[in-house]
Parts: sequence; structure tokens; C-alpha cells
Amino acid sequence: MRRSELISLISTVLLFLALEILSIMMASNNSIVQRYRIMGAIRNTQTSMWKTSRKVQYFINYRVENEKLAQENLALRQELDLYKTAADAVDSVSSKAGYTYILARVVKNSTNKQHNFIVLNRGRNDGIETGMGVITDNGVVGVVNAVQDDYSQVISFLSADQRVSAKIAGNGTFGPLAWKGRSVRQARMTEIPEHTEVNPGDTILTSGFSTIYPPDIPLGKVTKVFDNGVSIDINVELFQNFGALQHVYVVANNNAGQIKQLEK
Amino acid sequence: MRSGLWNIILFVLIFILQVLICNYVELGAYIYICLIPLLVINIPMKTDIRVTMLAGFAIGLLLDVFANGVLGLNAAAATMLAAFKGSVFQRTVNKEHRYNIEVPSMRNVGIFNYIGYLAVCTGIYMVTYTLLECVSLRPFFFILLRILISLVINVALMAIISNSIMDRE
Repeated sequence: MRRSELISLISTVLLFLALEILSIMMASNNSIVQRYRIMGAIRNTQTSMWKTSRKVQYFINYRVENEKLAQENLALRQELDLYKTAADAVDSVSSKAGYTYILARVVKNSTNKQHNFIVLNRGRNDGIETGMGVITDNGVVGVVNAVQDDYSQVISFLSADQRVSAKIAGNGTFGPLAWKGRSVRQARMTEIPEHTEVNPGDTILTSGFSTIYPPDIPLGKVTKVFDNGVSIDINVELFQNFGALQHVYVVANNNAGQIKQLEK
Repeated sequence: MRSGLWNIILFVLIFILQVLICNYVELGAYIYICLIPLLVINIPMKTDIRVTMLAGFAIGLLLDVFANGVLGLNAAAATMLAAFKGSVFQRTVNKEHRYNIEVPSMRNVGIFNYIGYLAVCTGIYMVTYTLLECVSLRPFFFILLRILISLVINVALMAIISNSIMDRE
């Protein structure tokens, strides 16, 4: 296309648009019906454009916002822990703050093996030690088993040999919870006494009977109950989606040394 | 060949007829008699498209002013028709007529070609006008019926006027 033809085409299109817009503006200004409907259509378009731009903005800021939320969560968790310790002190014997949390980001994560591992971007320099628990707001993630200066490796809860001491929210009955080995959202709680009343939908929490995980972290909900004649087994649907892990908290139990000393 | 003065007189007469129809003839909600497309499609094909659009806009706007309707509706529809009438002409008439006809008529392009051309042009005008008037597609069947009934009546009327008055030597 030659330059003069291009200019002619552009001027034609511009003139056409100008005349149409002028006509529509006149119609809009001279009739309430047209004004109401045209302005309505314009507002609808504006709203959908704003929504789209908000979505784009949200997507762009998603990572930053996530980081910020995780930091806020960490602060809240630590504050909550202080209050819990203070409440314990009022109730009975005084103790120092129970847990310290270290925010970490998941660098590598596997979910499709029988022994799954997670790599975190925090290591020895950040105060991470082997044996520390790793949690999120949706449940336990695993236990730190190797530490480098800036990175650490976690044995995922999705490993055949991992057990978490769990309890049923309503009655406090406890037992070990382990991954079933197939679906990333399914676990089984065993060794529940036969007389225990447990129903599908009940919530399962950490018991706090270990030095690794704090108590009362929600783990999942009961989906099925089996009576094997000696005890009850429970199928649990985990709250934690291991496929979408991003931020986690490494938990340091400040009283772990004393507890282990007593256990010896 | 018709003289320029005769053309102008015809244009004015059709325009006055259109204004009278708009102001005094009430045919119900389903019929909108509109002869303006005939004026726009009678603008010679060799006229620059920008001039054609401006002329179409002016004709439509004048009708809006004199017909006591909503200002801008006929102007928008006539501009739309003026912008696309050339392309419609290229696609509805035979190759032999495309480049040597100034103003299409039944005599020079044939009755079926002319009726087809007139129908598509009037359709463009009616759809633009009706959509702008209703500013939505609801109630859909009312709008569809209105466009179709008006289209049939207007094409018939314009074909008669064109053949009996405008097409005469």
C-alpha cells in the first residue's frame, strides 16, 4: 500500500468514527432514553475494563502481596504464641515463650514419590537446625533433616515413614497421623480407642505431644471412619495442598532442650 | 442524463416527503418508513467516500432536525450507509457494471441486482437506526420484526420511486 493510499484510508476511517461518535453524542444528549442506555453501556464497559485491569494488576503484584501476607502472618503467629505463653503462666507454672517461627520460601518441592523432599531458602545462617518442624496455616509440612548455610532440606509429610501426633478436635483423643501414600490430600489416623466418638467432618489438629509441632494446628477433616475390631482408623482429607506450597514457617521449640533432657 | 437541477429537485422532494411521513404518518411500532437511504445511494459512485459520508451525515442530521426525532439517529445511520454503500455495490452487482456506473438503477444494473443492492443498503440503515434507537437487542423479537417489516416495505417503496421518478431520462 502506497503512502498516499494509507493516509487516505486513515483519514476516511477517522472521519467515519468522528461522524458516528458525533451522532451518538447528539442522540445521547437529546434523549433521556438514549442517554441513560448509552451511559449505562459506557459504564458497563468501563467497569469490565477496570475489573480486567485490576486482575492484571493483581497478577503482577501477586508475588509481592504474598510475601507481605506471609510476613504479617509470621508476626501474628509470634504474637499469638506470646499470648498463649502468658495465658499458660497465669494458669499454672511460668514458662518462656514456647515457639519461634522463621518464615521461609519453598525453593523445590516434590509430591510424586514415596519419600518426598522440600528445599527451603533458609539455612543455618537464619537459625534453622535439623529436627525443626515446618508448618503452614493449613497444616504440617515436614521436618528439617539437613541444613546448609542458606538452604535447608525438609522431609515432607508426604513420606511413607513420617508420623504426626494428631488429635480429634472435639474430644482430644490422639493418635498418629500418616500419609496414605497415594493422593497428596489423603492421610490416615490410626490407633484411636474403639469407644471414641468420631464422625465424618470432624477436624483433626496437631496434639502438641511432640517437640516438633505446636499444638492445635488444623491438619484436615475426617472423611471416613473404620472400626478394625481393636481400634478405630480414620481417613483424613488434609487441608494442606502440597502442590501449591509457597511460604512455610520453620518452628523452633524453645523448650525442646529441656523436654529432651527429661525424656532421657 | 438527468440534469443537476432535476436531481436537486428530486432530492428536496423526497426529503420533504420523508419529513411529512415522519411527522404525520403513524403506522404503528413495527413500521418505520424511511426513504433517506434512497438519497444516500443516489450520491454518484465516483464521489470521494469522505464527501459521501459528510453528505450522508448532513442529510441524516437535517431529517433529525425537521422530523422532531432524536437528534443523531438518522445522521448515524446515513453516515454508516454512506461509508459502506460502495463496498455493497461492488459485491452485489455484476463485474461488468462495477466500474462504469455512476448511479445504480434498475435500468443499468438489472432489476434483481438493484433490488439486492437496495435491500442490503436499506438493511444497513435500518439496523443502525433501530439499534441506536433501542440501544440494546431487547426485546429481540420486536426489534427483529421491526427491522424486517420496515425493510420489506421500504425496499418496495424505494424501488417504486426509483423506477417511476428517479430513473427517468
